[in-house]
Amino acid sequence: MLEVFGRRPYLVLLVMALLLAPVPFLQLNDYIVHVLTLFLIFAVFATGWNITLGLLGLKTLGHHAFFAIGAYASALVSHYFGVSPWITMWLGALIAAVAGIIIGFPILRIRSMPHVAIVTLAFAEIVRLVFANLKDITRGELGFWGIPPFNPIGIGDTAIRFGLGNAAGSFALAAVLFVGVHLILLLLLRGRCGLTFLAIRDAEAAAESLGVRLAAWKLFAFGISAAVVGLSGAVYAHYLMILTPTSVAGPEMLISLLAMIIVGGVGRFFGPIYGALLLTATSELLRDFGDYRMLLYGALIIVFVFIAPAGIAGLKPRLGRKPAEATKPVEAV
Amino acid sequence: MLQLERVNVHYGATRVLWDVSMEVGAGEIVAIMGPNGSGKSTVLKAAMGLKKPSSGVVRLDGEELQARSATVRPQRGMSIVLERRRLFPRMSVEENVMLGAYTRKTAEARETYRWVLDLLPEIKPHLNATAGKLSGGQQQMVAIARGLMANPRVLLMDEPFLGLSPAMVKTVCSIMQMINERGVAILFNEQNAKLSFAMSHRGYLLESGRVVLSGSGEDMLDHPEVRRVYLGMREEAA
Amino acid sequence: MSRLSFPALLSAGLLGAALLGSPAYAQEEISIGAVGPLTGPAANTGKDHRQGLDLAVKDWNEGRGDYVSKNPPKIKFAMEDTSGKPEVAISAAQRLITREGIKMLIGDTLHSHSTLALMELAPQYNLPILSAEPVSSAIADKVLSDEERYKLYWKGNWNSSGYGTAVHDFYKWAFDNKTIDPGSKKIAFVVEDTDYGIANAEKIGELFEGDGWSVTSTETVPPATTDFYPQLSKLREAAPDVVVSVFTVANSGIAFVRQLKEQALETSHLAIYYPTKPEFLEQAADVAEGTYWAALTFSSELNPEHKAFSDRVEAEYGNPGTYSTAHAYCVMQVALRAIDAAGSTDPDAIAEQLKNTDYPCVVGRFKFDKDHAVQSGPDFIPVPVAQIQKGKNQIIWPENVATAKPQ
Repeated sequence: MLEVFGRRPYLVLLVMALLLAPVPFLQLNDYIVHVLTLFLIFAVFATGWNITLGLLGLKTLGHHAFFAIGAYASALVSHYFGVSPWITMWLGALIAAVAGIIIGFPILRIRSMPHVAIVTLAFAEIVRLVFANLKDITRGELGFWGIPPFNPIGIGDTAIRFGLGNAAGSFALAAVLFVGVHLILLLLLRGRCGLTFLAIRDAEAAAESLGVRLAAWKLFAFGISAAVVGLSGAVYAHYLMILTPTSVAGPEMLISLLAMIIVGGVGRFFGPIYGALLLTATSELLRDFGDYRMLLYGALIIVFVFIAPAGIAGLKPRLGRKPAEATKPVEAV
Repeated sequence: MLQLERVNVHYGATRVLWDVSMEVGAGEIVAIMGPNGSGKSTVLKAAMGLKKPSSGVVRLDGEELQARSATVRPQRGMSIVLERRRLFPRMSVEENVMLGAYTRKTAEARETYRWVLDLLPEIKPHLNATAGKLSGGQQQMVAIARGLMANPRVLLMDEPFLGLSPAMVKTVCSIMQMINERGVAILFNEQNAKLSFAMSHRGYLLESGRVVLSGSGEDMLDHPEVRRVYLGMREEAA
Repeated sequence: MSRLSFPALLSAGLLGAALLGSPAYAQEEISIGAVGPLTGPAANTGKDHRQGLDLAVKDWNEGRGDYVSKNPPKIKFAMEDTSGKPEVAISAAQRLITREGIKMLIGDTLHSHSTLALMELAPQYNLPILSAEPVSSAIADKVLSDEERYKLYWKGNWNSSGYGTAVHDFYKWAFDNKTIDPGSKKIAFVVEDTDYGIANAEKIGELFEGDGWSVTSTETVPPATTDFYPQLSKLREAAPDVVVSVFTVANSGIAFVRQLKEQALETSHLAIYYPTKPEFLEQAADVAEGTYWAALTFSSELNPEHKAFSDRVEAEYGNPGTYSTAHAYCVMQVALRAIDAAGSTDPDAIAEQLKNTDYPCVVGRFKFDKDHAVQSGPDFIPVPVAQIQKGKNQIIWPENVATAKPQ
């Protein structure tokens, strides 16, 4: 558990929240706020994916499908039925969770990791094709537009607006989502639930012999993971206000998100956040290098994988820490 | 209290256990001895429910369990120490041990935890260490501690001496006897005939998935077949 | 701070770095920005766009522009990469807006889905936006859904229905002058299973059905398929008079034409898109003789104006120009002339001048329709139908640009 959460996870999350809080008031230009908003949305996406990939240790490579399901479900319902995105985002998360549990069933029966990877990849491809072919509803690859932004919230005389171009409001929403999701997951995973996931990951037979109901817990993990990813997809949809099957469920999304998780640290709670920040921010910072941008970006990923094979979250400073410091006892049961 | 009746197990099309019947009485230490690949581990897995028998009966205190998964066993007083320990390597020792009481209430578990630490004081200094970084012997202690946390009346141990130093084998032997003295029945398997039968009340000899011999520990040690094939072979090898 | 983990500090540092930006500049020049796919699968096309846009700005600044006023403004041009993703397109555009202070955006240069996102920025930032090569008619639909909101957005290419109209009009013309026999008026499609393939088949089918034709079948295959025997045996049974095939991968087209020839079907075949790839004619010249195809929009061999443009690109950048280069060049010309004519950087004035655009350029005449999209057709940007004759491409329709008669 120490390896997953580090020494003081709540303090780390608090520091992150304190760093994010002043951003909307800093009068930063919209470009920077937009990039930070994307970082927050992708960080939630990556964290959700990390639950099955890192904590449960299943090589699931199809979570961009849940992102797409959450995004499309929320967008379609709010567009066609006029329901507020504040409500449909939860519906998106719920539908993604149901989809996650459904795809979880065949995964339960598969012991070989390459096959898990193939089945989940194929699932994502099916989801992409379904959204691409339901043209009457989604407009396919032409793009589903007309997605309403989140309804404005009035505080006193000022109204906070959301959606593209309303940078501060969108950022604030993403930041609340980010802190909220991570706080809830910390509360959930620091206890019995997280221990169970790790037990299943590290020694499935042992976990089963101790009384862990493998099937139920795996399905639960799939549900939670898909719900978090679906929620991030819904927020993405109402922020960008345009969806195409390829842009949300295509291979590019898979690759960027996997890179974030791997660079940040698979199976570390905060890893995907660092990965999302590093990759989202640097791909923009590197714009100053013009044509060399993506070359440097790729090189950066390789360098990180070499110097930090366990991810950024697995890095330890070489100085100033005793090699085997005693850890605080953890309530296990 | 634990009975296996005509248990058959298949891995795919391969039959690995042939009508195996065994019994472990309350408070007994029972050894399953046999060469590599004779199906010793499979007997334990079938008893624990980690491998479903294709036919036969597994009975614990009269309740038939062969169709139930492993997860129901701890609550019924049965737990297992798996081959090669199978600890959760990235968790702390304390987390590993406490997970042994997965199906129990916290208060009860705390109580058992104290009892287990008294029984196995060797693990106390390492409670906060990462389990995967301990030595093989230390890991075996942790695995036993984890197995005991379910407060079992029968403890299954799959190859408990595998890969341990001779000194450590002795320590583990005495721990097993100590556990047994507290009223816990033990069913374990081991390739070494002397080691198996010397410390057990009763023993079974398994060859190619069939029980070929059974009797008290002493009788087994004295049996000419065992002496010729297993002890002889052992002496030559040594 | 010693209690905090190293990664937390690292993330704080990164966040800080991201926050530090200096949007300070002063300028007399007018800044125009463009966003398009300079990396990713469509990077080649994006590079062509950049060359075309860049060349137009260079011409303009160096006195070779086609000016409207006597005192045209100097232009500063910057292009940012989208990697083909809509959210990155937004980042790129916002960077241009905040860092470069652009007064007009050319974007997206290629992708329709990015354009659907980008056009939201026009009302938010009061910025004129002109997209370059995207064709999706969803963009035009979106403009028509709220014309006031998207009054600053203009679409520099024709709608995706342009192909369908061209194919239909060509056949109608060929039937009327008895070049092709309509037979029993049956049409069939073999198309790639993409939006592009299916949308084209639907549009063409719809227009033919309007003339009393029946669609016998629409066979879809995954992109890059090279085995068409199952589809062809179905075609043999249905015996259509016209077969239309749509593939974006040249190899699929080469395989299809070859297998169609083997089957010796009595049908007129029209190919969409894949014959624009040079490798098609290189590898299938022997079997493709007589094939009709759309659309030969750019040809250095047949069109001296195209040749001259391609040579200029070659001299400037070391590679020949393509349709994408030429189209991007023209889009930038249209943008520059609108700014020049507006006499200021007032967004509404620029939009008004875009609306009034009627400008003949290398790829055709640019004139916007009511849906803010450039019009296609013989009088505007032609979508010419070609035929492979004696191993060479010849434009056979529309007649005003034809280089040969159909055979």
